[in-house]
Amino acid sequence: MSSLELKNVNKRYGEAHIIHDIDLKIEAGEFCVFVGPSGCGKSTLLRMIAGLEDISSGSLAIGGEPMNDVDPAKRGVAMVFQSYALYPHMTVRENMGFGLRFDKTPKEEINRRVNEAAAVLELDGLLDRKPKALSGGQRQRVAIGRAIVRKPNVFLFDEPLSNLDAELRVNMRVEIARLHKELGTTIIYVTHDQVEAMTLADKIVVLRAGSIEQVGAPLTLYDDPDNLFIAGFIGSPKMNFLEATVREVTGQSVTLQLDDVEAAPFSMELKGSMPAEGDKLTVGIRPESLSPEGAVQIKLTTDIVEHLGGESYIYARTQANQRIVMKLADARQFRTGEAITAAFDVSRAFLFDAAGMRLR
Amino acid sequence: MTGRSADKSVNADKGSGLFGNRLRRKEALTGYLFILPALIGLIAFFAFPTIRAAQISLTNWNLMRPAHWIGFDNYGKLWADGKFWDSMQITLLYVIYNIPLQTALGLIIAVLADRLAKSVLFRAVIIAPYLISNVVAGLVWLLMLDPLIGLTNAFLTGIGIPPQSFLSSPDQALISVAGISIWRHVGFTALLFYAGLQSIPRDLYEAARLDGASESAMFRMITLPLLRPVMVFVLVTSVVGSFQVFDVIAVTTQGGPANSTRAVLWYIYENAFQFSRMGYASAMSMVLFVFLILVTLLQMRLLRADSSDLG
Repeated sequence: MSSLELKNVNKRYGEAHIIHDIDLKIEAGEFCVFVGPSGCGKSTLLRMIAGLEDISSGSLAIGGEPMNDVDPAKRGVAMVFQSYALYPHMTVRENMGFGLRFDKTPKEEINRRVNEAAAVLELDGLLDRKPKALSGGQRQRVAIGRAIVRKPNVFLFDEPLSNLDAELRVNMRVEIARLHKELGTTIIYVTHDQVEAMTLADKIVVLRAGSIEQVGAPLTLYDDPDNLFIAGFIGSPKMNFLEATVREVTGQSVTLQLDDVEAAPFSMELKGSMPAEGDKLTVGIRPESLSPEGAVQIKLTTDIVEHLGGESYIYARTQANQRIVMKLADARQFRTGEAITAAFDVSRAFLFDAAGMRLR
Repeated sequence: MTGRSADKSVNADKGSGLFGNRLRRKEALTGYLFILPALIGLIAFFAFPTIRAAQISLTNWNLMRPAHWIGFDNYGKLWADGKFWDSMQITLLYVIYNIPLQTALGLIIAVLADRLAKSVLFRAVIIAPYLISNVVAGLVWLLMLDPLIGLTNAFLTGIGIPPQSFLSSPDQALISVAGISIWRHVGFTALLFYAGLQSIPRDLYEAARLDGASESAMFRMITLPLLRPVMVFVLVTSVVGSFQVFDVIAVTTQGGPANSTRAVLWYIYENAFQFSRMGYASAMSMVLFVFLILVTLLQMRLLRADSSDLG
């Protein structure tokens, strides 16, 4: 179990600047998830930590030791690949013990550790099979087993669940959370699935275009996003965004009028910097913050109503044809094509300036 | 099985069986039409000559007089023919000179091409010798290896090595012929290995790097085992091809000097077209044919040709 620190880390392929000035500290034993849209550099950053990609500039330390120029095998990391990368011509046992053969671990010790990991992952009966004879979930567990056997200080997971079907993905997610609890090892986990990020992480690092957008605990990112991108990225269904214009600024209070929507003006209290009169802002409201009754009301027409049983999603439109999603615990009375009123409390609204930065 | 036959009877009851059968027959006919061109070639150039040779091998046909049935006399004669066994031995030696070096060189070139030079030009240069015929390759090297006017000796003298006799020395002729064959075939072998290397997922090497495997360990423990299907193909085709070495010998040494390159195919050719012993030559061809089938089966068995670990 080791802490990990990235300082001012950059990655360039010739002209292309892929990773920009990453500063990040991951505590020992922490479960850290890198999340972001495709091409944001999260996998590249993980591969740089593993040593599979060079660090163009900046420094990487694992357990306080500088690691920039250390061989991947000697960094004390083990990686679980998206494709599992199991050696197809070796049995499960050989796959799991492969790494130990190179640091001259005695055969009995290799066997003991493989058996131990197999027991933890319920692979006992499969040790003499080849990967071809395993199901996707079993292969996944072998890949994790191969990492566990090496007793790494840091586990690296590169989108490990993306090749599994939905049900298995949920099971493995729980499994990985359980493993983290049992082993207590530092984990860095890359995913584009924000549900995985929210459920597994102690700390989420949201990346976009090679830069860190925000770092924080899952609920911090959800409840207190720094900018429009984080607000839109974390949470499913996505946060609703409405354009608004500043009508009046008095002291720390700002009065807003929603554009393109028939709604009464409303006021919000801010602690930080204030916008000016006439500024165009964005108001963000989470789907579950909308309900039929509340302080600020907007008129909508329902498009589609999805009843999931315990909850319902109402996909509706404003008069300006902007889509708004509402999440209600019970919406059995709603029908498609109906005119409805959605309302929210000002305290549940988020305010962003024209540059997308949060106004608190 | 029972489920299947039950399905059939249900179809027949509905009266669709007849239609189904006709459709299936029509489909089969289309299928045969597709393989017909290849089938004609196979029958005309492989099956028919093989059967005909087997037939001739049981006669004393000499191109002049009509063939007489002599049973297995030719095979008896062959068994006692020291020159035949001598030519088999020469061929075997040729295979031993040829195959390991050609395979190893091909593999090295393929790995280098894969790791260092992913350029089309490099691959094109490597494959170039394969694009000229054996006869031309033989003629080119006949000149290159000429002890007096050849470039090879000029080069060797240039770097301080005494000139060699190559094709005109009984000790060096067979090795020289093998060298010519390696020069011509190594690019093709390399290309096959190169294609095989492309089918090995890159992340296996990354996983192995993280596992602490050195480059040589990765080659031994990942590349080689996963290249097995390509290896089978390369070895089977090149071993069979080497046993059939003929054209390079025909244009360079003609079995000489002192019969040192009289490989089995050359000996068969001598018997057939110089001594007009068609029956005897056919008998030797049949023995070689059966021998090569056995060698191929053995190779495929040893190399587990029927299974690949990849996908």
